Order: sequence, then C-alpha cells, then structure tokens
Amino acid sequence: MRFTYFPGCTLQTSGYDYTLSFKYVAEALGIDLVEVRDWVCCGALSASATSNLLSVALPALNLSHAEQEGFDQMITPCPACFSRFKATNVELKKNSGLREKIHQVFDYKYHGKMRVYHPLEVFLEIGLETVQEKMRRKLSGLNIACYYGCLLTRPPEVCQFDQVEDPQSMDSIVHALGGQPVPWSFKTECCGNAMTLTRSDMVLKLSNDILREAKEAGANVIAVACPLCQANLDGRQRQIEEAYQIRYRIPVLYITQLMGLAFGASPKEIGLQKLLTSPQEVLGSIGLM
Amino acid sequence: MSLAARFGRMYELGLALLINLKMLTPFKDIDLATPMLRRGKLKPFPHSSRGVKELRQVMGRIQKLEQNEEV
Repeated sequence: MRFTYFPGCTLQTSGYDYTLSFKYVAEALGIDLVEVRDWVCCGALSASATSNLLSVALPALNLSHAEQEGFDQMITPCPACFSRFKATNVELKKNSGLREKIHQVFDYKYHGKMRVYHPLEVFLEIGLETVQEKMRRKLSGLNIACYYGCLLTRPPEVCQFDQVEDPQSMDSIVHALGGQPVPWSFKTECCGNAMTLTRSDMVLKLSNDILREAKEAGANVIAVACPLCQANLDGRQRQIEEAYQIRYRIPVLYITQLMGLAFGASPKEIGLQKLLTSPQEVLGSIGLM
Repeated sequence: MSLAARFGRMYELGLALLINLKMLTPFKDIDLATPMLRRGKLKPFPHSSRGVKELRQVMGRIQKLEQNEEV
C-alpha cells in the first residue's frame, strides 16, 4: 500500500516518538510512505481564529502538493491535521464559492478529491490477521484504556471514523495483540489541548478526569493516537498529580508504540525513552522492556 | 499564525515563549519544558519548510482578497 504521508508540525517535535513508532509499524506492515513535498503547517490549531479562508487554504495547499505528485490517498497520524484535511475536502466539494476563492489564491486547482486516512483505519484495512502475523510477543498483562480524544471521530459526518461515542479501532488492535482493552466511558472526552498554553488549569482538570477514569477502569497503560492528547496525559501527568494530590504514574503510549513492542521493536526504535512518565515499571514487570 | 508564516511550520518552543510573555507568566511550564528539551521533544531552534515562500504568497493573496471583500 502506498500513501503520501503528512507528518504535521507536532510529529517533528513533541510527537517525534509517534513518528518513530508509526514508521516502524508502517514498514512492518508493508505501508509505503512518501512525505508530502514541501509541506507546511495545516493551521489546524490556529488558522480558523485568523481567517476562515486561511483555515481551508492551508490544508488545501498541502493536499494540492500531494495531488500534483500523483497521489490520491494521504495518511496523517495527527487527528488535528486529519480532521482539518477531511473538513477541507468536504467544504471544497459542497461550497462552490469557497472553491472558487481557493482557486484564486492557488496556482493549482484542487477540487477536494484526495482520500485522507488516519493510520488506525489503514491498520484495520490491512487486517487484524496480518497484524497478528507480525506479532513476536503478546501484550498480555497490559490492561489498556484506549483513548481516542475528541478529534478523531467528531464531527462524524466529516471524519467518518469508527463509532462516534464508542470507537473500537484501537481496542480491536490491542485485543489482537494479546492486551486487555478496558471498557470505560472517557474514550472520546476532550483533554483541552487547544488551551494548553493559555488555560493550563483547565487542561489539568480535563486531563485529570481522563487519568482518574482510566485508573478506576483498571488500566495500567493508556493508548493514544494523538500527539496533542499524549502531550497532556503523559507530559502534564506530574503537574496533575501535584495539583490534585494524587499519584497515577500511568504510562501513556502511542498505539504504534504498543504495536511496535508486540512486533519485537527495541524501546529505542519506537521512542519509549522519550516518554515523560516512564513505562519501565509496568512494561518491565511483564518482560516487555 | 505568525510563526507558521515565518517558518512554514509551527515552532512549539517559540509559541510557548511568546504566549507566556504576552500573559506575563514567563516561567510557566518551565518544569515541563526542561525534561521535554532533554528528551528532544522540544527543539530549541525552529525548522523551516521549503514551502514557506509559497505559503507566504498564499497568505498574502488571501489578505488582499479579504481586504477587497471588506471594501
């Protein structure tokens, strides 16, 4: 399977462990990735506050680059980028006035035809049997709360990803790899990332709710598929513990890091050393690290 | 969007510093930045995209188009 690959700004920096593990898993599953030529920020987090036209133009610019390179399907691991690309395609297809404006500011006429996928969709398309075939060791002993965040499934008419309130993609992968997905009700709650720099008090509250629910559901690991959620739940975990006088120490791994572990990757190959909440105790206790 | 216009991509450390300075809380999240820098999760310097020139051109055209619409 061949895709044009849009990493997004976060996967170059704070989410670099997602990049490492995603590329490892993609190679193992035979997914061929070609990075979008001269890609730029898709404006997912701030363009709409500047200009509605800009919030469509930035994703469309990247999509048009990919189309000009001859691709018709794109993969992007960041749900914020994924959501903006999908929304841009929908808007360009249905709003001829907007499409006309975009054609005025670009030298290339993009019509919204690029198919955009999140890696979870592609992994499931390849099939759980193939995923299991690549498994070298089981994730048994891990009780995993699969946290999808608020951007992957919503708005459903745009994202068309899994079930809106109770998505199962990650759960089924975890189950196929011998881990135990825990049932819980906070799968698609918001961690508050859009306000992480301006209202961190609110982010601590929302992220604390998620960590508390995961712990109460019996999870010893949280699996995520979003670099923004990961930064809050993992990176801010010490701040949350301090603010709420509670001890979680629950590692927050990307689903691709868990898949990489199951496929036999070394911790360094999938960036486990980059996690701020160490997974050593949990993974070491069951011989995975 | 000023950082994206300058480098073509988001510069996370620069954005955090700018917002903290504007909010008069320059040392907020310093406890988070230090381990992130040590683990390479924050880059001290921005990385420019080769597409930045085209991005600025598009942003300029949008600005003109929106100004014309307002008139």
